[in-house]
Amino acid sequence: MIVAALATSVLFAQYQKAPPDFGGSYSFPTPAHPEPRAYWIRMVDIGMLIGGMALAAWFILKRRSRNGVMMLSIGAVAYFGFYRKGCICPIGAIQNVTLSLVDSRYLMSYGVIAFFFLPLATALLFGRVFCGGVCPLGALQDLVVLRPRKVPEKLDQALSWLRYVYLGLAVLFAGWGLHLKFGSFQIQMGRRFLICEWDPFISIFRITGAFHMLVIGAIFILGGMFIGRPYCRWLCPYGGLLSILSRFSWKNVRITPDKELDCGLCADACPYGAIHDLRADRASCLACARCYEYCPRELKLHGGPSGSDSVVQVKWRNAMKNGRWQSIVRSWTGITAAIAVALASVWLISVYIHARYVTPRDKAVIDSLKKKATQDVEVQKVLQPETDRQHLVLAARRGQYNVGSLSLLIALAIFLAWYKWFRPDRGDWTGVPPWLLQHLEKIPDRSAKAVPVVKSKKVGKKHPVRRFRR
Amino acid sequence: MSEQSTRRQFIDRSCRILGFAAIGGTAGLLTHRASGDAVYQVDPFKCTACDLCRTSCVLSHSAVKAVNDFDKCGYCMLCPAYFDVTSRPDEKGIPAGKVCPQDALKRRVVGKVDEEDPNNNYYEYIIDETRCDGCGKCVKACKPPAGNGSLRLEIRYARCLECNECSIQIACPDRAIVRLSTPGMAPKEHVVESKNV
Amino acid sequence: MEPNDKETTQLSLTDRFRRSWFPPAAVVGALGAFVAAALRVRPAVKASARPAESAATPNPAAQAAGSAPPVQGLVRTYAQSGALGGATSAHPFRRSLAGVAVGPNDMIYALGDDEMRVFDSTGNPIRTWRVPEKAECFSVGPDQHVYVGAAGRVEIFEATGSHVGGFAAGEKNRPAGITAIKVFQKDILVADAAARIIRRYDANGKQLGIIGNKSKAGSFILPNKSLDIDIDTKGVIRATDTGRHQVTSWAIDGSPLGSFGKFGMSDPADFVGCCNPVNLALAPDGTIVTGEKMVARIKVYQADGKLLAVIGPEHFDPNCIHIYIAVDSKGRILAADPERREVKIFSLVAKAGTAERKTEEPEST
Repeated sequence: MIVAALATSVLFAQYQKAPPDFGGSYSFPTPAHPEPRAYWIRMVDIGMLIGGMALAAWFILKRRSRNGVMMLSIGAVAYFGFYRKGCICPIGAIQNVTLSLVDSRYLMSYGVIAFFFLPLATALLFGRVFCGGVCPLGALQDLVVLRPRKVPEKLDQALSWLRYVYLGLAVLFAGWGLHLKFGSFQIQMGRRFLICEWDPFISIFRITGAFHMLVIGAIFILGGMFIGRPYCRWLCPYGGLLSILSRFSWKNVRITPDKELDCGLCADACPYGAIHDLRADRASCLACARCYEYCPRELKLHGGPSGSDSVVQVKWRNAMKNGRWQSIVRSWTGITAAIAVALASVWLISVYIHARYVTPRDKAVIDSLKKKATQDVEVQKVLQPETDRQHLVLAARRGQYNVGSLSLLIALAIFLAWYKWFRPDRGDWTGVPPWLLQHLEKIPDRSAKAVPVVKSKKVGKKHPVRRFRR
Repeated sequence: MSEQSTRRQFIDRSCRILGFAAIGGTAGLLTHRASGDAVYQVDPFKCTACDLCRTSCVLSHSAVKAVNDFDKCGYCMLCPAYFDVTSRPDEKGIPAGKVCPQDALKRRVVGKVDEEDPNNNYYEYIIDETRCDGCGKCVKACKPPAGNGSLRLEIRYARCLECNECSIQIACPDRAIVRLSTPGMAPKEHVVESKNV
Repeated sequence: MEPNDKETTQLSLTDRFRRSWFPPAAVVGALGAFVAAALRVRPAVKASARPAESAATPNPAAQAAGSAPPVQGLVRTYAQSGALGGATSAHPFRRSLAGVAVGPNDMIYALGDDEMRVFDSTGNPIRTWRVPEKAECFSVGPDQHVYVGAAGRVEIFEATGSHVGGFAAGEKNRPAGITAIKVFQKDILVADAAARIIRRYDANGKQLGIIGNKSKAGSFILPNKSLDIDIDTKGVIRATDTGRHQVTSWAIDGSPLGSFGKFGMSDPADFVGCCNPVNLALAPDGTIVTGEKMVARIKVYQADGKLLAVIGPEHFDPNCIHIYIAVDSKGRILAADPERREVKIFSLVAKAGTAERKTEEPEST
């Protein structure tokens, strides 16, 4: 046991005497020192990574199924996100690798090495399949995309440079820290893992965290509903590395392998602006497979819709269009879920504010009682129930945070699922008051928009490989 | 066109090979130095029980708890970590004040019990982990010469999230949080204790 | 990179400018400025880390008790008159100091560094010999035989240091935790902290009796796992009962003769902390000298428990968990400080109620 190794020393030799005979019947309790995660479980993580990337590559490149990628994303959020609490991840592994290269004494584990290098190797083979189905941060953002806006290309390009700046800062701080001296102005900052400290989603996966980190996480999630995967495209340092390597990949995302219609539906479907000249840009394509979902050629080639959207759309349309109560349920499920999300957030914030207000007051009461208790035995009798009461308040508050967070996440998941599969089309909203209806009618139908066919002169019959953005 | 394809394919292929070589080489170099996973633990000889463990953990209820090493514990009736020995004693001579702010240190009488005179008894001290928040006041009070030094702060792995970078390690002013190889793996000599400069 | 010639000539200057490196550079510059501004805030956050407390006095209770003002109105006053084996002496103890005793002719014996060192009464070294490791305590008999307690055994050495015998103390399946040895006529008294009793042996190791389990209160309570004993010329044994904060008295046949002392942090006559007194010795004039930890001090009591003198904490290292004591025939108190690894010698300088003043005898080696 680590602890036993640490805790024995010559310093305490005088107390390592034989235990006394207490008389009566007393046996020493065996103190519980819970062990850290077993080694074989850590190997399971690596197995899940390899399996996940293999499945992602198959779904994206061979099976060409958005359904499969989405299920994989949900699995990644569940396993790598909420179960493993987002740690260990390859993004953070950049820092471990840097520190290990700089300082050979730094303890490096096989798991971290696997997590860092395997997705890079896979990027050289299959492109950014890690980003598509395995990365929990990416999967979380991918699942909350609702109404992605197009970001102007030049702005997108400029913001992408931020990734490399972040990478440089992360490497600098992980390996050396920042030590500057300009005359009287100096900065002394020790080695820090910036990526781990400023990870916006880690507080969501841990369902706890500093207030400012939770706010940043919420902003990224809310923003991610309207701008696709902002962290992945503009801030992720590992994504920067993957995008460089993905340019040279052996196989990558290809839109309509035999004949292109040049209709541009894929470009409209891509939330990340990764389709240039009707071809997937290998560097910025995040392998979400939405372009397949909306491509009419997929229907022809694979004899059936590849997107779950069309299947559900057809089934539900036929089954539920005429029933009024079913229609009301369809309309109101989403609205209720959205209200639940808002209420849960408000409740959590109010518990937090209450705690900030109540805790110092409670502490002052206990401190004054303790001071008096050292001189007066009667006060000690009053102190005990007060301590118990405060302990119960603390435990209750932790319970409130847990319940509130879980209901928030579940309500959000229900809302997202409803938005993707269950929401009514325009004209099918039922039982909704008119002042709300006019806003809801602005939400587009779930079927793909029809776009006039555009014949492009630049695109030839064979698919030229586009490595670099122009 | 075909010339360009061949040249492009050649560039692609060579960059791919270069990439694999770089990945393989660096991975091999690091694997040579690697060992099992690393976990964080408190070094009891450096720890001065400064209370930062309670507030620095990413968890709101810190993963650091006090534990009692029963083979070192004196089982004292007047445990200096249980009672605040500077407080005024009552008529039986037992001090009025207690050290633990959360009332997490519990005791029960063990061995041959004398009901009338508490001074005649040995007491077993156990920490209630649902109450202990890792403030370390009992640890400080038990340090020799006042006590036997059996109480110490420990990171409990049932609660610890095993973050990549322990936020308590950053905050600790005594460099008392060490990063160790997981048990079950052969420990290597090079273990960096605290990477904070 | 595959340049498309048509495109390049068709691009205007502004387009080329916008597609060049300038926009990213502007972004990087803005970010750098933001980071620099943020860093100015960072050092303030870091400065709130607590300063490390000094490891020398970690215990607030000890500090509170030890800083009490010096005691007034005591009958006797002692002052340091010499020292042995300290860091500045000619033969310092380098690693450990585990005990001190007085032999015949006031010879001073000290156990440390796995050695037994013998000095004469003025402090000149006479001889040294090795003792087994883990030797914790010892005593000197009237025949200059030295009895050393180590790892559950009593080893006997004669005056020149040669090993002449030994025996195992304690039960067969439970070796004794020997924390003190005293010799009385032909008997060897061994303080067994594991079994919480005093065992009486003859020189061959045969147990003759047990002392300490015949009182109504049960045998000793020893939270610090150490029992110290001493016996006077009349055969009255005094033992430290640290858990009860008492000095207890016994006859050689084991019958209890009484006790004195109680817990208290304010009255100097009381014993502080969780387990005190940790050591004691008997003086030839019938007084009892006790040593305490947490507030490292030595006190002199009359046989009925009245406090006569306090030799304060300023002489000793505050981290001491023992202060080994011996008293020679002239009444000088020898105190071994295991943290500083020094034997200090205290002599009586004043007695209240008498005009007598003893002259100091400065000596040190």
